Amino acid sequence: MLTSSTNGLLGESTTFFGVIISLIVICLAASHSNFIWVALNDYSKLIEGKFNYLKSICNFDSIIGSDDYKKLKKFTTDLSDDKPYTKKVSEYVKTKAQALEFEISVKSQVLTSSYFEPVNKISQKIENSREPLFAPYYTMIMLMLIFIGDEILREFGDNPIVNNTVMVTLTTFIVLSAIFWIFLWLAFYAGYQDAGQEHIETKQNKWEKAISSALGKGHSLLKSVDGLSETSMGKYCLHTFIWIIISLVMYCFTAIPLSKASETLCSLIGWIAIGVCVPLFIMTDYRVKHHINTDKNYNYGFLLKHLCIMAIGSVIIGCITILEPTLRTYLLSHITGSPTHFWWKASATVFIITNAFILPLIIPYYGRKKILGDLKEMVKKADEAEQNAHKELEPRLTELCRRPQQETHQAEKP
Amino acid sequence: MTLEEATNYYITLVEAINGNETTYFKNTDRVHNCEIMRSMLNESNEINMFCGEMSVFRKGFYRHIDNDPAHQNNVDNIPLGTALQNQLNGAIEHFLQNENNSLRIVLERYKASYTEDLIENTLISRGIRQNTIQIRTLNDNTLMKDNIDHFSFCTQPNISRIEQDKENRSALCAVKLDDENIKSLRQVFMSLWNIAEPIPC
Repeated sequence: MLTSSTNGLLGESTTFFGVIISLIVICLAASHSNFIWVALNDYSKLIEGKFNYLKSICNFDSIIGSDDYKKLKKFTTDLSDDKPYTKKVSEYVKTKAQALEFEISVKSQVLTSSYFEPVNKISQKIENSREPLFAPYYTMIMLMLIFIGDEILREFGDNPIVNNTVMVTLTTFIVLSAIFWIFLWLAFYAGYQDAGQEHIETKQNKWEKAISSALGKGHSLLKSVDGLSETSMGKYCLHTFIWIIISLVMYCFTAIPLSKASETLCSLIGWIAIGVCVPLFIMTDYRVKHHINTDKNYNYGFLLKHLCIMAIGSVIIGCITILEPTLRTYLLSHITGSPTHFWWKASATVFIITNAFILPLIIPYYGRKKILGDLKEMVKKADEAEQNAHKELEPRLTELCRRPQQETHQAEKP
Repeated sequence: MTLEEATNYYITLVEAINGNETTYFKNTDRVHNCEIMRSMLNESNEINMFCGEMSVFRKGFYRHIDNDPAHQNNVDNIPLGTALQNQLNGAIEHFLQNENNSLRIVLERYKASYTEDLIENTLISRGIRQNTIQIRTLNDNTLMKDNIDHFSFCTQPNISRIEQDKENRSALCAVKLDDENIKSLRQVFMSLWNIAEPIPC
């Protein structure tokens, strides 16, 4: 049987993990001391600049700022002290001026409204980008739990049951955390994909279609029992109950040819694991597709709740291995392959560094870059639309502004 | 302004509604704003409105008219604002008689004090209950909302009022507006409506 040395789990790498946890602490707040936040903030300023430019285009600043438009505004006014124009302007010109003023106002508002939804989606997405802060927070707590496990192993590492339980618990916890964060980052990136667009068309091959169809059926099943429970945990328990019944029926069929008790037990554990994992997968997929990260309940409480569930689940799995020696031997031979736990530490380090530093920088960076590209495209289109409107409205505006002078000249002619 | 002048303005509006051509009216103050809303409530089945604080339906709006020295009390010594408020109450009641009518309002911002100050709280609450009146609000953080002028429009007859100055309440009103412009205004309104959130009742 493989055992951990009394050096604990981390051994001489304790200082290295300590330095990592100190760096993570810097990344917890949205401030100038957070090097990830500073880099992303620069991009946000570029995006803000594009918003303002788009706003000025949609406002028809070039038309509204012109002298002709100012004259037009004077034609349409009823103020009696506005002598230079009102006396000269005929009723016909006044009506035409009012119609043109109305048309310019409507055109400007229509142009603004066409960008209203995508611009606000983008702004919301940037505002709700909490993952660059959430991921270091989660990873820090995870590292603290690893340190606690390390301390337990230093004190009680000689006891094979404690050693095996802690190792399996920590490994399961890291694996579950990795799966959890894969889903969260996917959902986060998916939000960037459609932030600047109203309709997204996705091309799927036949396998993707089949998976989507199966998941779609799973989502329908989810919705069908939605009314029975308000909370996510309640819904999950309901679905797990249904799937465990299905799993037990499957177990009854598959356990008949098995002769050994250990094989039967392994089969039972395997089917129950399927019963637990399938609804979890369907629910997670559903929430990812419905953009979990725009949900108001997506906050630090959500993270802590899931962290606790995964930690408790890991402890339960760790304890099960005490009861089942075959499973324990199998898992441990794959988890703690060497007395220095090299591969375990390497895998944990990769996950910690990736989740705390690399992904919080790279994914929002590429997401914002994509958004900036979408915004540039929007500005280009809005600019074209504004220029076309300008071309159409300017001659009419100029002609209308000359009209009172022409009328005055005609009236003055003998 | 006197109540008689305000009534004349309303009559001119109704004549334009019954006419055949698009007629434009330049509005310069709150009285005109109130009379246009009254004509919409009396004449139309569907009204859509984007406004700042729903002021035309609030008591403060009419108090402001009462206190304005430019306006005079009528023959019974009733202040102009109070008289207009009573007329608008009647128009709201008339509008709510048909449950299929629709008045949709998008507010630029929302505070609980707005609903406490409503001119006819029970009437408007009834409208909200029967779903004839629906009110939504934009978030404080909504971008580009200040690019969009406050406006209201109704169909059959097509009447539209676009506010040009939010402070002075000056606006341009078009009666018998063509369907193309109404379609454009509906598009603008729907983009606001879709992003707005229902107000807490």
